[in-house]
Amino acid sequence: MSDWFNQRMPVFKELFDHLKNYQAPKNLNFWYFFGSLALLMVANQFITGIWLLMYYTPDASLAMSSIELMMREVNFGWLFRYLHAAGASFVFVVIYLHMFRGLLYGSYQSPREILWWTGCLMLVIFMAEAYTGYILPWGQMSYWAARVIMSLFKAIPFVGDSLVLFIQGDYEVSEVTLHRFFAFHVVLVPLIILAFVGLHTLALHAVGSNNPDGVEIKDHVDEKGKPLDGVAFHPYYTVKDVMGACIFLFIFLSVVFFAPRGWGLILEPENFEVANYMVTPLHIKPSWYLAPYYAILRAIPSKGLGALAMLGSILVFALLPFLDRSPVKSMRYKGPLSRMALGVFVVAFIGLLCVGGMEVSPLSISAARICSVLYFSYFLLMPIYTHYDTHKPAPDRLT
Amino acid sequence: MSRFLIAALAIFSWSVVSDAPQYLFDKESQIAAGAQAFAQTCYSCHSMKYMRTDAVSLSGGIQPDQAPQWTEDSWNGHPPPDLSLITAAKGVDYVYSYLMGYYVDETHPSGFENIVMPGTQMPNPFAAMQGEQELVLTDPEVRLFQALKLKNRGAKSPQEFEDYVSSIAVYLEYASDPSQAYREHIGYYVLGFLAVMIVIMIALDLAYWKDIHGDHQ
Amino acid sequence: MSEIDLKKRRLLQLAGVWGAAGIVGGATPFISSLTPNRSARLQGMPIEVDLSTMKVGDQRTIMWRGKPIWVVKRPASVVSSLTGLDRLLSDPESKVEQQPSYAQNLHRSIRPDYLVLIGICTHLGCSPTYRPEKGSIDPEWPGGFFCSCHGSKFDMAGRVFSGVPAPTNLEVPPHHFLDDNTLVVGSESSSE
Repeated sequence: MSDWFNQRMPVFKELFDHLKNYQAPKNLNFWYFFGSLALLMVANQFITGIWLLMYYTPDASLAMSSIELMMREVNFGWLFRYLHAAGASFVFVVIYLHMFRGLLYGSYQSPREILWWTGCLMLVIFMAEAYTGYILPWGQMSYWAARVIMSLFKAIPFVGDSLVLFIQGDYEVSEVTLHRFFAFHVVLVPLIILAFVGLHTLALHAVGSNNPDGVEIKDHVDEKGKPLDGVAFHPYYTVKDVMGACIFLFIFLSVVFFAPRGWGLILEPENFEVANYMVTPLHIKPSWYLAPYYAILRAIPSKGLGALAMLGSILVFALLPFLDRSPVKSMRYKGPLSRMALGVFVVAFIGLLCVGGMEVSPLSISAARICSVLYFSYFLLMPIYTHYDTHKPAPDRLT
Repeated sequence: MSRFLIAALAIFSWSVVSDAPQYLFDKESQIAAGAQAFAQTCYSCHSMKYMRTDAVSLSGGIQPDQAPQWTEDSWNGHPPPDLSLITAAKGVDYVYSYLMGYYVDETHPSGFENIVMPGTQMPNPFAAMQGEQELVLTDPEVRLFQALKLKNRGAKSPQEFEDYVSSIAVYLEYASDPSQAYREHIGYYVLGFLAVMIVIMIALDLAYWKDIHGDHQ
Repeated sequence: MSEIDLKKRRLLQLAGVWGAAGIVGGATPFISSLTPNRSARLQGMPIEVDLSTMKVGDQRTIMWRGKPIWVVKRPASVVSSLTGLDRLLSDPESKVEQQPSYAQNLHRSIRPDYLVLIGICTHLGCSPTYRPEKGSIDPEWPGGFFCSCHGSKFDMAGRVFSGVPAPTNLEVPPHHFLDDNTLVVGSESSSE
């Protein structure tokens, strides 16, 4: 039966043959789970999104009640909502850890520049997806976050104001905006995400996975051309990735079933009130995964420069292939300056994440400024400290 | 003015030490009692629109066809809000403290002020039931319910009244997410299932990787 | 087969079985959610119909589970004329189960005067019209229901005439009478 099918339509056979032939370094550690976990979470968002779409009404007066009634009246309606909402947060948990892995082992370095850039673009696209989705429940936080982000675009010189009118389709964020963001969130942006998942995977398969040693396994091959330090992706890494997925699902579903509001980080209390055009919540804060960039925005006492710094803080990741002058890739062989810089960057990022969710106070502004300087220093001083840093020689083959 | 200052200080000290409603008897019957209490005391003004098919709410007397209707401009432009999601938005402690927090204040149009939400539009629904409280705050460090003292008793004893208000708060908490009990119930099975799957997958992973690690050594 | 291969195979089978169970379990909520939701189920509950205002010859349409339900108060003359139609009908004795057993009789109803039918043609789901006047569809029309979509004809008990596209008689919903003037559609007895 399977022969009959494979002879006529070899899709599964080709896929398995490909995975069996695809050689991955044999020393990948747990940091390498997060790529496949990102795929798992995107799949979760797609599937639960389709189910939410069956009940959601993109209308200002019905948006929240369609969600709340679904959660109460549809069998397992609450499950789809919580899986999707917590899933959005976990997408960012996973891709931040995935990116940290890249910083740790130099995965942005040659020959993986384009692979890294497709990933950077995906970060921006995921933010767009999260932002457009966040508006859909049409709660107070949805509405006012939309207005705050929209006024950021106004900082663009000359065209800002007309661009904002163009995007929101009204003089203020309104029902019209809700409708078009709905279209973006469920059709346009997901299609772009799918395309980029494809490009990212294609680029990965062309250059192969990096590894914790940061050396190329393709440099040492046997007489058949198989890398000496490679193992077949299937079954070795399919089994490992499924194991990783199970461990991850345990954590993810613990949150979904026992703390689905995520202590106000996944579903904010303010967003359980329907949007009111006239009353701003006392404390507007972005979702935690956007808080670092928001903190950088607030740290700079100029609207235009703040918006520019915020944009820069995301785009600067794309410059890493040019900034890193170290002859080795992996942090295992880099010197103390690089290690310290990465440590400081992580502290600054977490600091910004915390500060971005706090209310404005002299203390939080000072903290945001210090962290912003450290954040950008990691990138902009990289050519200097990687140039002067010592390093251990990278091994010839995997250790 | 100084009275508002005192109240503000009281809120501050309250937010440090919260006065959560107590689960005095088993939670299910407390929710059912709360639904009845809500139907008696709150449902004449506050709707409960997302619970239109909830069995506990319906049997408690919260019938959708009797839901109160208000126009935008009633109550000086502050019509009584729907309470389906109030504990999700404000927290159950807030709701409980608010309901417990009315005290006599002749300067307020209704004759009662609320310690949690000064200037509230809502008249005290519990005057006959609870009796009248007065503000006796002397030390701003005290907790909320040391700031209020019962002046004269109402129809219910203080303990009965506290149970009554607790049950309303617990019902409102239930209404903000009725899935909770069932969700947590199946959550244990889901996590148990995954725990077994993790053990199997770790064993399988070790079995597969044995030959790779073997030839490496 | 070496010992390690055997162990691997056992574990793989175990993982396959447990994983398949997980996939089935995970799919359950998604499939279960597709059934009518609680609001629809509540609206699908039995409904009461007040008959006190109905006059002889009246026809009323009410909605139950999104379907038109007809209630017709038939004159005694119409009920007695039902006997003479046997040779024109496909299933004059209502042998096909298109009605609860208590309506499997000549007049296809609990009480001879009140006819209760689901107003959906058994051919392709159009809703026929009530045409009680004799001779209004064709010269031999005895009065009944006519489906203008594809020309199916039914008599005053919802029985289908032969030679039309509809295969069976119109369906009788479960119903009972609480008292002389109160009909309940959707349940068979008061205890339900």
